[in-house]
Amino acid sequence: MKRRSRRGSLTIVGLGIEAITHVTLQARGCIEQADKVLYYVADPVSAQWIRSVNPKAESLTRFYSTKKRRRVTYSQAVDEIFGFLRKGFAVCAAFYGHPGVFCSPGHAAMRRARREGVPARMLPAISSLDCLFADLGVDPGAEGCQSFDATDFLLHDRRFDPKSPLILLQPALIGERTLPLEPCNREGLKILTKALRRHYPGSHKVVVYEAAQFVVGKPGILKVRLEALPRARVTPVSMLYVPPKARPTANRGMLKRLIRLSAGSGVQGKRKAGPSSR
Amino acid sequence: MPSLTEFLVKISADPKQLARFKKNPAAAMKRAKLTAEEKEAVLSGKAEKLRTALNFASWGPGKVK
Repeated sequence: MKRRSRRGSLTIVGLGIEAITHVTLQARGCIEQADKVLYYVADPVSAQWIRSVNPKAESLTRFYSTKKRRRVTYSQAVDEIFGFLRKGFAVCAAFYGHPGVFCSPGHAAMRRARREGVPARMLPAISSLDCLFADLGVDPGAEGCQSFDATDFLLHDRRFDPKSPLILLQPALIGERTLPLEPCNREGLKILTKALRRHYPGSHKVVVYEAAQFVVGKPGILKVRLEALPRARVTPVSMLYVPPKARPTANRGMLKRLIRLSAGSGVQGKRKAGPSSR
Repeated sequence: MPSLTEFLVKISADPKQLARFKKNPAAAMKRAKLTAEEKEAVLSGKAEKLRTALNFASWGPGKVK
């Protein structure tokens, strides 16, 4: 019998995108060892697996509804987590994808735990962005990477560099504040396309991307001209990848300065081999 | 429990089962007693077909419990 501290403890884990295969050993260990597992997953395969690993696991889906705002749902999910923490349980909250990427309840639970002095930790996991890098061959280290929620991108008129890759998340859910009833808000997609047309030509090829959710699945990679985006098949799990429209121009003054810098350090323009901050 | 869910749990959680499936998908799916629709969904690899066969929508809690 594990000893419970009065405050309990919280570990927030992500299950990755591809059901079961993306779960890290660290996350699996937390699910196994927890007094209580509360999970929100997007598919029945992950749900079945979690319950097989920890029979005390319970779904948070009962708080989700198309009739209420998402923030209300998230707040109720966090309240549920803290109900078990108050009982002194070691709680593991498991979410689909990365628990800190597009997962408001994960961050909200961490903030509340810090406020209330509950020992808490969030573990990293595989996000849909990670899947995109692998499936589309995009290296953020080569050309940079800008990513925004599609609604946020429009609402705040985000400044970005069209010569660097742009990734927009949830383009199907522009302006949606509840769980969607329809798979795609076409009007929102039209507004997004119009905004992007200010920076890219209509013929610019973009990719509607959907990561594979199952080990037998294939990623969805749909290449379309930007002007055809409003008619493309886009689902709530799709992301929009907009490749750079041109190669960037180097700042010659900075180039000279950096060459002098590397010459001075003895590297002479060559990057030292070794571990980088990946 | 639906056999497709069970089948996917099995091959996702056990690399040996996955290798067996990859070597001979037809035999592995027959052993799992998948329906014709489920087999087609698995072989297609298409997200939409798999979601339909598993009876859930990826944009809401749907029937996932």
